[in-house]
Amino acid sequence: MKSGGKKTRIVLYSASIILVLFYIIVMWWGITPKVGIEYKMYYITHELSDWPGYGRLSYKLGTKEICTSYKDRNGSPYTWDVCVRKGQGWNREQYDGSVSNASESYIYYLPEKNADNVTYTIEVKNVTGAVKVYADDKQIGEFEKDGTYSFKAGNAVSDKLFTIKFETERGSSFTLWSTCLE
Amino acid sequence: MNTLIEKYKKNSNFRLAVQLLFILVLSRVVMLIMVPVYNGIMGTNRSFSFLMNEWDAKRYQFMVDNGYTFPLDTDPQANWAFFPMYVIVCQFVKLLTFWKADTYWVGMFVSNVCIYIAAYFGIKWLRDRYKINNGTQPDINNNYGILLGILMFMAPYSFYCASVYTEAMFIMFIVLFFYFSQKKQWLIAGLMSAFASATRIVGCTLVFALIIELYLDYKNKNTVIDSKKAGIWQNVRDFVVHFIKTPKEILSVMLCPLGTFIYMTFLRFFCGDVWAFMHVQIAWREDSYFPVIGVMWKACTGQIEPRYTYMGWFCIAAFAVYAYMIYRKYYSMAFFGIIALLVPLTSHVMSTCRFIIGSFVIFIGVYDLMTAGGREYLELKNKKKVIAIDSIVLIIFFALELFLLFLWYNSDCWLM
Repeated sequence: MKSGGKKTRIVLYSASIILVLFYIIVMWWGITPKVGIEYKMYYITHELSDWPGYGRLSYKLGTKEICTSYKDRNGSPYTWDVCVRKGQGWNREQYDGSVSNASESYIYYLPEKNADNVTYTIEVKNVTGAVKVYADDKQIGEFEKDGTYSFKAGNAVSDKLFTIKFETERGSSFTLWSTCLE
Repeated sequence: MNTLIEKYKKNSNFRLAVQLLFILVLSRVVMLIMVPVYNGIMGTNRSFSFLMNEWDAKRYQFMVDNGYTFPLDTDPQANWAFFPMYVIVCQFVKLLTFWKADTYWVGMFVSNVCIYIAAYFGIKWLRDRYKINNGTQPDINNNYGILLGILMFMAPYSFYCASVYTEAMFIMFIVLFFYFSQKKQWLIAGLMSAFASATRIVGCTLVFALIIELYLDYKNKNTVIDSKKAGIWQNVRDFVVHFIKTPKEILSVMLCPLGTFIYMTFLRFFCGDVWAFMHVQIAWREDSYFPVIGVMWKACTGQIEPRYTYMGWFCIAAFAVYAYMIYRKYYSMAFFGIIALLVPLTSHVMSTCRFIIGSFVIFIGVYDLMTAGGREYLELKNKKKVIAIDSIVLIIFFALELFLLFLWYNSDCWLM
C-alpha cells in the first residue's frame, strides 16, 4: 500500500510540502496585488466603468474633458480630450455624452499638483430632475436645468484620489457633456 | 508493405493509430472542401487558415508571435485571460521552423496532433476499461471504441479542435489524465492535470476527479470495508487517513493545480496581480447575473438573446448526459464534467457549447449512450439494427457539424 522506501516517502512528502508552501505564497500575493490605481479601480474593485489606461487617471488641473467614448458612431476618433475617468452610474453608450443611469454617478481625478480652492465646472444636458454634486463626500452644489455650472470644490491634493459624485433623484437622469477641474 | 499489412492485422495499437489517422484526414478533408463551398455560396475568396481561425484564434496567433502584452489605453481586453500552455507549445513548434511557418498553420498543426493523441488514448482508455470489466482485451477485429474517435473528429463543434484554440490540447491532457488514472499511475495523472491547468483554468478541477479516482481505488482494494456496515463517513474517514499516509497520492493531488499557480506567479511579476486572468474578465462582460442559477434562468427562459437560450438548453442537455454518466458509474468523469461546466456558468452561458465539447467527458457519455446504455434501453440485439441506428445518429451528427462549420466560417454569433 505504502509507496517506496523511507527515502522515497521523505522525498514525496517534502515535494508536497514545497508545493503547499508555494501555493500559500501565491495565494498571499493574490490578496496583496502590486498594481497601479487604475488597474485596481477598473479590474479589481470595479469602481471605474471606463478603462483609462495605465497612469491615465492622473489629471492636469485645468484640462477640459468631453464625456464621450473615444470614437463616434461611425468609428471615427474624436479629436478632443475624452473623459475616461468615470466610475459607476453611467450608460455604456457615450456617443453624445455620458448619461447617468443610477442614483449615484462618479468621476475620479488624481491631481498632478496640489491646489487650494479648486473650481469644478461641468456642462450638462437633458436634466430631468434635481442633481446634487459632491466632492469627496461634501456637497458643493446642485443643478436642475441644462447649462454650465461651476462649483467651489475645496482642495486638491497631489496623487490623492479626488472623487466627484452626482446624486440624482429617483427616476431622473442627466447627460454630462464636459468637465473641468481647475 | 506486407510487414505493415501483417502489423495492421495483428497489432491493435498500430491498427488503431492507422484507423484514427484515416478518420482524422477524412474529417479535415471535409473541412477543406467546405472552404470553396462557403466561398461559392457567400461570394468570397477566403483561405482555409483565415476561415478556420476566428475570434480567440486571432488572439492566440498574436500571443504566439508577441507573447503577453499590457492592455491598450483604449482596450482593456488584455490577453492575460488566455492561459500559456498552448501558446508555449505553438511557439516551440514555430521555433522548429526557424520562426518561418505561418502561425495559423503552426497552431492548427499543434491542435490536430493533440486531438489525434487524445483520440488514441481515449480509445485505449475504453479498451483498458473493457479489460478491467470483462477480464480480456476486446477482439482486435471488433475495432472496439473506434466510434469515440469518429465523435472526437466529426461530432458537432469538433471543428474547434482543428483551429487555433486550446480545446484540442486541453482535451488531450484530460484524456491522458484519465488514462493514467485508470492505470493507477497517479503521479503522471497529476502531472497531466498540471498541464491541463496551464492550458485552461478549468484544468484545476481535475483535482476532484483524481480524488474520486483515488477513493474508488481505495474502496476496491479494501474489501474489508463494507460500506453498508461502516457507513459512508467511516469510509471517507478511513480514506483520508490512508491518503495522508500515502505520500505518492498526496503529491499527485498537489500537482493538479500546479500549471495555474505557475501562470499566476508569472502574472505577479508581469502585471502585479496573480488573479489578473480572472480580473480581466470584466472587460468582456457587460451583464452580471446570479451565478449558475440566475444565469441558467435568464438564458433558458429567453430573457437574453436567443442564441443564449439555445446555449442554456444545451447546458441542460449536457447536465442530463453527466447524470446518465453517474448512473453508468463514470463517477470521476461525470463530476469533472459538471464542475467544468459550472465554472463558466458562474458568469454567463456564452461559449458553453465549446466548453462542454472541450471538457472531453461529454464524448464518453455520448459514446456510452450510443453503444451500451442506448442499446440496452432500446433492447437492440440485432447487429444490423444497431449499425443502422448508429449510422443514422452519426449522419445527423455529421450534418450538424457541417452546418456549424459553415456558421464558423461565417463568423456567426451563434457560436460565440
